[in-house]
Amino acid sequence: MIKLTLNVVMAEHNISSQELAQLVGITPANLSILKTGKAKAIRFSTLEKICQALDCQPGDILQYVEE
Amino acid sequence: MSKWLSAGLNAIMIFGNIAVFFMYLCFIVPFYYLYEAISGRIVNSILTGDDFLLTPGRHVISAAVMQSFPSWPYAILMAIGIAINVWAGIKFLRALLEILENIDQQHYFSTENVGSLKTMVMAQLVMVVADVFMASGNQLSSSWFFRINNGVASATWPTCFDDLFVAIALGAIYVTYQHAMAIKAENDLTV
Repeated sequence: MIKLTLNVVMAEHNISSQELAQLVGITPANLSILKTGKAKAIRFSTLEKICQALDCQPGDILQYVEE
Repeated sequence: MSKWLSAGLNAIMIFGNIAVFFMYLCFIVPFYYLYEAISGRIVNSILTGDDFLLTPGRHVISAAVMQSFPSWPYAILMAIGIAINVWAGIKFLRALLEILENIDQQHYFSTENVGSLKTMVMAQLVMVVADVFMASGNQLSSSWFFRINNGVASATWPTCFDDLFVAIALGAIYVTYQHAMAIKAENDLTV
């Protein structure tokens, strides 16, 4: 399964959910869906904006974990 | 949603609720059939009732045929058929009204609608069972007296297939809607 490690990268960059949601242009509720791992899919555009805001690579926030 | 569509839906819902009320009253009909069987008036009702059509050239019925008519099986078949049909009809209509109410409130994709559609499919299938009972009863009146029921409980064998076809069509809509709901859920969780 694909695990989102957004929490870790956010903590490293010391950025709050509210701030990141604003920078990415999504609602805090949608960001919470991403952080809690409830999301079924992520758009390339969202991923691009997150990487831009956190100055990281997609691989830093997406991780493959064997079930 | 346009005002006209909303007004139309409200009008349909009002008439639908009135129809549900009258359908509850229809639960009296099975008891009427049983009462007629008890009072021995079934044969007379079939031969003189306005609800029955005459087959051309078959106007004379002998006393022996009248005496041999299975009144009780006829009454029981019709009573069971009508009772089941009325129950299924109420379920169907109430489920339809729930869907219309959700559409009126702009809740197009709700789990309640899936449940209501499933109820409609099940009710339609139950109606097919009810049709079998009524068609059997009506077969008796047409075989003995060549009278074809044209009244409220006029189901014949082709009616069973008609209702089955409607059930299949509703089933297809139900499956499609269920898949649409799954796609909607996935879309909601796409960020």
